[in-house]
Amino acid sequence: MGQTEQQISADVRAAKDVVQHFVKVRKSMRIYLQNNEVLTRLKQELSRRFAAFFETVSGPLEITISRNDLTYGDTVVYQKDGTDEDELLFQLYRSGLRSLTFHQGVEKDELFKFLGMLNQTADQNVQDDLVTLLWSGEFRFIQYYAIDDYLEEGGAEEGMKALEARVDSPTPLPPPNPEAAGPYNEDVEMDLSRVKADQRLPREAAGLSERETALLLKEVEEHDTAQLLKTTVEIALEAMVAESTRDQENKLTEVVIALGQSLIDEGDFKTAAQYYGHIDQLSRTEFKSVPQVLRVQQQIKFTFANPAHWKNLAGLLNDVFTGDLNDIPRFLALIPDTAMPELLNQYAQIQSPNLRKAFLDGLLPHSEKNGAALVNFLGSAAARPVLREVIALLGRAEDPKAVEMLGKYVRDPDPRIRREAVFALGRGKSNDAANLLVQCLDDEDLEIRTTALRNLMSMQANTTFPRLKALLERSDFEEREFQEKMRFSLALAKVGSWQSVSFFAAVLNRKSLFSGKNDVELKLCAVQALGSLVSVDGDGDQMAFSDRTDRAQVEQLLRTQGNNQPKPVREKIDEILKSLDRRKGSVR
Amino acid sequence: MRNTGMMEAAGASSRDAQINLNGREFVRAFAALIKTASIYDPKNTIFNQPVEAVHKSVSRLFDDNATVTVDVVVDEIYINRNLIKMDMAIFGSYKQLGEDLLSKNLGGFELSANPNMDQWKQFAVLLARFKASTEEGWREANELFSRQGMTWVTFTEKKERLESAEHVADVKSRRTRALRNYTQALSVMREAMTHLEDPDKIDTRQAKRVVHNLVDLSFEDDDDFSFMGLSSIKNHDEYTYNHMVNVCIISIAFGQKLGLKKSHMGELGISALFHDYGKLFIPLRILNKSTKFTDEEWEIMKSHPLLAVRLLYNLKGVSPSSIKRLLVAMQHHINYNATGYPAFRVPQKLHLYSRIVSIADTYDAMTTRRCYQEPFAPDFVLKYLLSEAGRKYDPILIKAFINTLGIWPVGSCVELNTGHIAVVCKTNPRPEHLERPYIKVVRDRSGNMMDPQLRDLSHPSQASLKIMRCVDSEKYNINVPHYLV
Ligand SMILES: [Fe+2]
Ligand SMILES: [Fe+2]
Repeated sequence: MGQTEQQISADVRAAKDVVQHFVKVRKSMRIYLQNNEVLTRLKQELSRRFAAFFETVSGPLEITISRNDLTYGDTVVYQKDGTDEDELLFQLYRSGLRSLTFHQGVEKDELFKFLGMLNQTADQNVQDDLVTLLWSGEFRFIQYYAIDDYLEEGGAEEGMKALEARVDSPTPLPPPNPEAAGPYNEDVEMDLSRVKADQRLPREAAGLSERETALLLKEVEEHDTAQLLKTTVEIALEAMVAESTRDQENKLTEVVIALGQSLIDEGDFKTAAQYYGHIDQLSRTEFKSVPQVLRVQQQIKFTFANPAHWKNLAGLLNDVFTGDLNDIPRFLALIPDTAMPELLNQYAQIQSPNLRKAFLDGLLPHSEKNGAALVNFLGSAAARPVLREVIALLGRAEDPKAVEMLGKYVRDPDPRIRREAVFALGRGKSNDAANLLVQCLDDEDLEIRTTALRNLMSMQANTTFPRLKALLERSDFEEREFQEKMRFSLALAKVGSWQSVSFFAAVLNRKSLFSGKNDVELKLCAVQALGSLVSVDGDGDQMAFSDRTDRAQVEQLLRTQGNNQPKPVREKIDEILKSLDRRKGSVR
Repeated sequence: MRNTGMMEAAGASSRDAQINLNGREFVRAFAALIKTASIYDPKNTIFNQPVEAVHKSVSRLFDDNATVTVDVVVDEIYINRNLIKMDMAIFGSYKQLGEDLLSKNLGGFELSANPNMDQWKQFAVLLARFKASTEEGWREANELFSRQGMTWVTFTEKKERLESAEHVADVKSRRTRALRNYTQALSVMREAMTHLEDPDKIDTRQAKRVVHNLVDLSFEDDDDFSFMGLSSIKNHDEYTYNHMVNVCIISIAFGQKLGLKKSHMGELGISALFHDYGKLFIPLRILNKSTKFTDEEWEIMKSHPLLAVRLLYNLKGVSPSSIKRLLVAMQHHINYNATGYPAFRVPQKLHLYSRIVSIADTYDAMTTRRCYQEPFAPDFVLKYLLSEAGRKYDPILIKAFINTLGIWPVGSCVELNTGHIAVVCKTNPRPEHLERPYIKVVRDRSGNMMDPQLRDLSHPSQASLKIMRCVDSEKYNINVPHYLV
């Protein structure tokens, strides 16, 4: 006896453990979003408690639901607390559930799916109640028992009687009033001309091949949400053209927008992008210049352009987004530039670095026309944690204010900020940007100087050559590292081409009292730069006449340097001349 | 504790569906395991997945029973004495498992406990290699398996029939339940009619409950109850509602035959129920007209699929399943070859449900009486559908539909070679006997009423009976639903 009692109380304790934690999880689900860590931990704990129950008890966990409590066996394991209408008990009872049974082996998947259903139906204003969801869930380890007597309201008994009478009679009942015209609502078009009425239905008429069966079954399993939505929007647009009143048109417009919005709300950015892309395509093809459809597009644009519309975008990315990172820039491309200020705010709130990076990619195209928004954002406190990443966008902006802002950043004491800024400058094209880059050529940070040089080269601004030359002519230039001097010299040869020859010739002809290390290095750079000019590949005959002359002059210059130069420089010159001769030989 | 009949009824219905679901799972998993065992070495890791699936499905079966029995009776599989329904999705596993056991002269087996995964593997490997040398394979197997220490399994002999488990619900209460479901479905549609101005108010939750109950009911189809037979209930005066409910029932039965998942059957059922939703916006003077339509009226009638877009005004209802509902309402008059109505700018890819409902819709419309037109006999309608296969209707689905209803369709009255008149009650579940349905003989040669008994024409004892032709139920004064429901 004592043993049994103990056993019973252990059962009940385990059941209480489960149920009470269940209530807790239910409450937390209304507070936290689905990917939230706290919630995940709570859910894991629930699954653990279920396991503990089945270790203690061999049977299933059957919970009986009544208006005021939940019972396991004869023991109340949970009681209604207060008047909160949203509470678990009320939700279960209201939907008609009277018992829930969890069988041994119930898996996390089913359990979490069940929890999801509770959440989905918390709002009374939905298309499903808990019971219809449970039914569709096809659970294997969770069974329920529900009443549906509310279906019985209003005249059901008479209806039932009439139906029974109709079925009970072995012979047909005469129509209640044979004279009265019955409803005639034929909507099926028939053409009976091909019917073989006097032949028996052939056996083959039912003969499905394996391939045919497989085809059908495949289609049954298929669910392509994107395709479904595309078809829906086609239907909605079609109906919109047919519906006569503006009110109906507005309702449908709302629906078309809501369909896409529901995808966004689920974090399914990929399908959302496909969906809106499809509308856009329809408006250019089948529905070209249909006013109703144009109005729909305007409405979508209007909605999306509103920064307030995107207030929860970061939340969605943090908490529900599960798609591919590439979906993010594709999705952001749908949003008009005017929403940029909010997009930047949202960007700052995204937690995962990967998501942030993808988001940043999507912001790039929006940056062109959004210099002012960027400058504003960068000036705000919200920008601080993401400052360096957002600086990268500034380069893309066409607004002069953006370059101005970058000018501030290239003078920032923090080299990391300067690095981002000089990198961003490479995306600009203006003279102002080029001027800033030239300034950066003197930065104390080698990486910044190198990036600045590379960016300058790619900008092909016509002021680059004189500025670069001025830098190389400065007496402090020779103090730099050999590699950097070489890089700068080659760059000068490249932007200046033959114009740079006189500069390098001057370097070579410079008389110095002693051939110090820096002097030798500078001359080596000059030789290499001149070499780069003459060793350009290309067929001599096709070269412009002036180029040929210039090339010959440089060659001549090198050949006549002879004994004037220090040994390493002479060697370098010989090397270049030899390779030139080799090439000439091979051309002949 | 469970007091009212209504409550009991709902419980029983979903229990049947649950048993069938668990049983199917087992058949599928076990057939896969045996197949694996006959091909692969036991050490192969490929075993893990099927072994786990079997273990799981059996543990679920043990939840409701102290032992688990598997019986193969001729070509049917029973689990815990419940017939597991065969449909197109499970067909392969079902046949393979049945034939495999019978070829070893085993009639099935009983498990006294759920063995662990290793034991399951051992069991499968041994069973796959087992060959009977005598008629009494089950005796040999029992000896062999117990020698291997597998005392938790007992093989049973082959049998011609199984004393079936006690009926979960008695026939009478099920009939009441079926009729109640039908009434509820009618009233849900009538209720929907009252919210035309404000479709937001339509309670789709109620409609779903009703359809779910119908789907559950469709799993109870057995010798005493023909789910498809419910669709033979016609009502001349309330055609619109009856038609919607009947199309729903036919579509569910069709979906079951196709092997649709239960949740998909629910989606299909609700789509079918609402397929003519747009008609509710057609003026009654046109809808209830007793003569043929003028061209102008016909044009208005033809707008009903497009009018169903108003289902969408119900903003809270935008979900994949509500979209399918809309698609069906929109597409059910668009033909397989893209003719029909309405004409869309973008050619529509017809959804599977639309193609199913289009067939069910035509079938019910044509078998129902109109004021200007006698109903067509079910077999004529099948011939009509066949004549339009590949033109109006998906030809593969037409074949499947004829499989669902039979060569002599459920609900038709037939004359036998003896001169008796019978009602076709059920399709023969064995595809090779599609021409030999289950019938009830209802009139003798002279037209006198007979006490109807269900006969399986494929049973050897009925071999002398032949169906000669379909006859008109009116002519013999037969109320068909009386014998089906
Ligand atoms: Fe219709
Ligand atoms: Fe219809």
